[in-house]
Amino acid sequence: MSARLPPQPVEVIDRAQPLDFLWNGRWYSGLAGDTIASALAAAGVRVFSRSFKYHRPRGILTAGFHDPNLFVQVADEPNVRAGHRLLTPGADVAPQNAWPSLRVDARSANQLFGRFLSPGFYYKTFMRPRALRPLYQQTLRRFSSGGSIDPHTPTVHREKRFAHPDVLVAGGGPAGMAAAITAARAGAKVMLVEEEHGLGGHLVYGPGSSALDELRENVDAEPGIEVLTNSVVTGRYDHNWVAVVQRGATHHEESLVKARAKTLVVAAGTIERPYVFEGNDLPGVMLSTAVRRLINLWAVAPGTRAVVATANESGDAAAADLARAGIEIAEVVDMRRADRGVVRARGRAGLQAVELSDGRTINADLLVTAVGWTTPTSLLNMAGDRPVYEPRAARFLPAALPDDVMAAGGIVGDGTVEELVAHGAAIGIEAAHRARGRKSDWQRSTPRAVEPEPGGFAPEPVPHLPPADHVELFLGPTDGFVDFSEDVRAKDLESSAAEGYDSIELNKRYTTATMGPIQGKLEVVNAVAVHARATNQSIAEIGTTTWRPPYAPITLGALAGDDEDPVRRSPLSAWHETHGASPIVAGQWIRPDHYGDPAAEVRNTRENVGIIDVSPLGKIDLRGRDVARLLEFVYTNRWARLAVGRVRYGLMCAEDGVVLDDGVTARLGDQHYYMTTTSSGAGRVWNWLDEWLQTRFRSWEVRMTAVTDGYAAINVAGPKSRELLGRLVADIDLEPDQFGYMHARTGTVAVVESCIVLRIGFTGELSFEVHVPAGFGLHMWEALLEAGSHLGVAPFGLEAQRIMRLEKGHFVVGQDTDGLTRGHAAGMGWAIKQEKADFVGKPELAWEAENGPERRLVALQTIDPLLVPPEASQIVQGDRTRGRITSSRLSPTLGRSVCLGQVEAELAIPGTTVTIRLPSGDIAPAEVMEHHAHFDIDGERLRG
Amino acid sequence: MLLIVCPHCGPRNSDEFAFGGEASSRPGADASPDTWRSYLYDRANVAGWQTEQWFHVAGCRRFLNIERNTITNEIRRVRDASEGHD
Amino acid sequence: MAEPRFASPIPAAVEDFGAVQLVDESTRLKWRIWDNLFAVELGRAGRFDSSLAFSVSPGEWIVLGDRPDGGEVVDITHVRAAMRLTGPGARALLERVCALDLSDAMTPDLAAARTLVAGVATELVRDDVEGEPSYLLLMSRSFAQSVHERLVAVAQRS
Repeated sequence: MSARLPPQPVEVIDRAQPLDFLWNGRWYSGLAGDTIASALAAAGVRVFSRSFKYHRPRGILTAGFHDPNLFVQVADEPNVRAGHRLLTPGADVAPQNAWPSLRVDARSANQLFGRFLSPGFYYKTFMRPRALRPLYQQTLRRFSSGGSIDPHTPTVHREKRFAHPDVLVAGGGPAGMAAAITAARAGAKVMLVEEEHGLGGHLVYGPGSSALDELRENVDAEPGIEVLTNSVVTGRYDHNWVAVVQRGATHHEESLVKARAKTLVVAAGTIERPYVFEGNDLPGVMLSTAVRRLINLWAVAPGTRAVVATANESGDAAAADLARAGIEIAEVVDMRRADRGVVRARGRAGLQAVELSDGRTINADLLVTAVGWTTPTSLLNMAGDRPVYEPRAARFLPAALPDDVMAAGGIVGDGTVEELVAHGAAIGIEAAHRARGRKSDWQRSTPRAVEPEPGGFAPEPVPHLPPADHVELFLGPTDGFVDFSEDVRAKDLESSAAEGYDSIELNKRYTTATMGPIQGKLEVVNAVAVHARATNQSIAEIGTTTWRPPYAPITLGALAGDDEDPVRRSPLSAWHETHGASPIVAGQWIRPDHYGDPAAEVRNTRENVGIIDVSPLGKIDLRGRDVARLLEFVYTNRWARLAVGRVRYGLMCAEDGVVLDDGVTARLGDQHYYMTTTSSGAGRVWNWLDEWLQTRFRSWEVRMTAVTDGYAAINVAGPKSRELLGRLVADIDLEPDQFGYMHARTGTVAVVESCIVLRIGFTGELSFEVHVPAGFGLHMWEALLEAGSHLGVAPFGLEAQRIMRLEKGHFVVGQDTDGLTRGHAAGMGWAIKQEKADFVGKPELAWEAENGPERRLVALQTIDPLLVPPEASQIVQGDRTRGRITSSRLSPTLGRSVCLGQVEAELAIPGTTVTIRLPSGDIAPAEVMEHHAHFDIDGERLRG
Repeated sequence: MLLIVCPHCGPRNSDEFAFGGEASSRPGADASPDTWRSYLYDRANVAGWQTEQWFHVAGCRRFLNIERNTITNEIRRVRDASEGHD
Repeated sequence: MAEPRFASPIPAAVEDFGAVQLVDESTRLKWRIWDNLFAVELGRAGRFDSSLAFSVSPGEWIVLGDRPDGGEVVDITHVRAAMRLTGPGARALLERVCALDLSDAMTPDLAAARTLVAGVATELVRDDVEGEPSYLLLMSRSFAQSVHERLVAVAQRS
């Protein structure tokens, strides 16, 4: 049963190291160096999977990464490519898409109904009735391939890193290696990326080659080359941003390298193309390169009696390999001759006989095809190239490349090893030369960088590497599979073209040809050839389809990497965590939502004194002669006459009049102001001020420092707040006649110097906001708690703050306003000073004032006092939506529900009864109030 | 990921920058309503070379005017916005 | 009243991973100035007695150390946290979380840049210590713990 051959000259297996593994629940033995597929093939396994639609048995086709038939499940990992993945001891390998078993696949009955599975079958059949779609989906999913995912798979973090190679070479064959060597010798930092487990490209399974040994030695000898094997360049994006997936040497963890390459050299070689004829997917029908890999790398006999259909040297070499390995060759069919050819392959679970065009039928279990090459031009395509079909070579060739992308070796043309190496070497020098130019430009444009070294080197002319002539062989005389991944046959593409999908881009989407896991690498030219024949065009006229990243699949884990969104913490976060705060993420900040009972926190603040961590408030230090002019311009209200020691509320609108932010700004000195913004708007306002100063008011003297993180801000609120703070201040007089509402003082609090104290109050209570240098924030917080213990001081969280703000009717930008809410609609007309010469948003706000806002923000109270309509509940009139609730809470202070909402202007008249539609469908009446504030409308508590 | 060669910082990935749209000049406060509306809402949306405002928010925090080809993403000129634009 | 104690946002003063050491330098005094008192060019840093001055934006400088003498000075000691990565593995660790080209040609000793580190805008100064590569990172204080945790996690996996 074993198909393992005696030792081969260049084999990569270690016969002293057997590895046992499970296949389909049974133990097998392979060797170190085997891929999963080679180990199974050596054990005599011929059927590896069932095909996607028809559940036909499938075996080895390419024996490599891009083999469409070798997808297996390894333990909890689906879609493992058995032709590429190295065998590991104890690996639990199972087939995919085969139920109940590989041998008897219940779903292969699909074949009997093959005519139903014409292109568009799913679209046409499972659309109606619509109600059955979930059922269709569920049933069809059982029939689809793709392995299974174990939701209990442990979380692992995949590494990600950035790289800055001068020259990045995609492909480690002779040309790629040569390019890497010469580029490195020319001083370039090189990254050499190879898909296979070792360097060498097609040389690895050729006869032992001294050229390969020399190239490998030279790569090893260059410290400037970083070699990534078992890795793949999956995408080339703008400005040579190159994604490289690097895989572990023996295990499967993928990691992503994000490289900004100064020059990208694509040396991807060529990929052997299957031939389209009846039975071309039977196990035992293989490409010549698969046969060469199996025999030479892993010493596996691919069959026992072979027919070799060859149109090129690779087929001839495969025949020679078979002969040397002692495998019977029943027939060599020279496909270069027009009168010789393969008509069909016959067999059930595997190849049994081959019908030739001369009428003979030859028994064989192996049919080797060597009909030509596809150039993997994906990366060039992503760089803007439109490869051109060359009929004499029967393949597509690169056409016009941008300056920072070059192609080397087999993707360009054919030649001896020496010619390929010479081509790669010249490209490598040219690539290094271009990279050096780019690097010099970047060094010159980067003030911190070292001066670029003068001088350079003269690149050598790149030798011409013409493609060899090759007979155009795509489609045989019978119908066969074009796309093995998606089970698309030539006749499917033809009938789709006849249905009117006569553009290749439409046809491929309709039939899904080239859209499976192999993504067209094997089948795209065959698909184009079928489409050409069906539409009476030439292959050149059709051209290739568009290639997009990724070239090879990337696991989601590699894309996710170990990136985590950064979070912001206040200087008091650790205290909150250890004191039972329930955390809430607000923007990037982690904040305490409450400490157990937000209603109790509200009551305590209204009755005694509460403290809240408001450190996330945006804070901007503004100094200079022209700060007041800036404030006049960015705020809608007046600032010119704000006295030193005073605080004012300010409203900012954007140029379209929409509310942008609000906050208070204090004048701390003659030319020194301290602006606060909303927590979520801090960055936006900072950037906003910079934009005006840099682009419009360039001569103004304003020095701005964002100091949000420099101060812990603690709002001390409640009737006992003055008494509490009085215990901690020495040089600040808190008496009302000395420190009135909307005043600011700087001084020492709790022995901390340089604190800023603002007498403001969004809670509606007497309150002082202490801004303390952040490193002393925790000290201040603990000092307040200690000094206030007899006053009943207690912390309150965001929820209590929201309740108190709402009781006072203060809107929250972005909660009660939205992207269309202009200043007047927000009820802020009093803060919009249209008589100012200019300010941001003035013309649109003038228009709004003249025409009246379409909607207005109003306070609402439900008639049923205990009903709290959820935020975003609609305000309706008949079938029309006429507004919505933007904020709602049960007020512990008033014992009733309080709301803010936006309503159409004609409903905004105080006393109007509106109808709220609740999520349950019930409706609830509510009254529009005269003032936004529900509580202490005259603000007596605040000013006390 | 575009590469933007910042005149102050050198080559940087575009995720350090905030895109500010087509560069435009604010009309005077006494401009006609039509001029204002045009400034606020009309965009040329050219296919080809366009001067745009970008903000190097995670770098030097300077506003930049960048000439970029909207078809190819080629960038041919980057200047500090204080130098104005053509 | 107890003397106020400066609390750093960085949870550990020193983390040693062999090839790289991560040290909290948040307590250093930090200043922002608008005059080139130290004759340091944009993108560069300079060492002066006990101070380090650098510029990452035209017309602005950041100084670590004693309060600079002259011109407008804003104390940003509490605005920024500071940490230092030192050792032969420092660059490789940074390359995991920072897209800046840290090669000697682009980021030599005493180079200064503001860029993203672990997703956070950070002032990065290469300030080698006795010939050993060393990077000083300054970021907004509220992000410091998050960045520190990320660096520690990456260093532990490397």
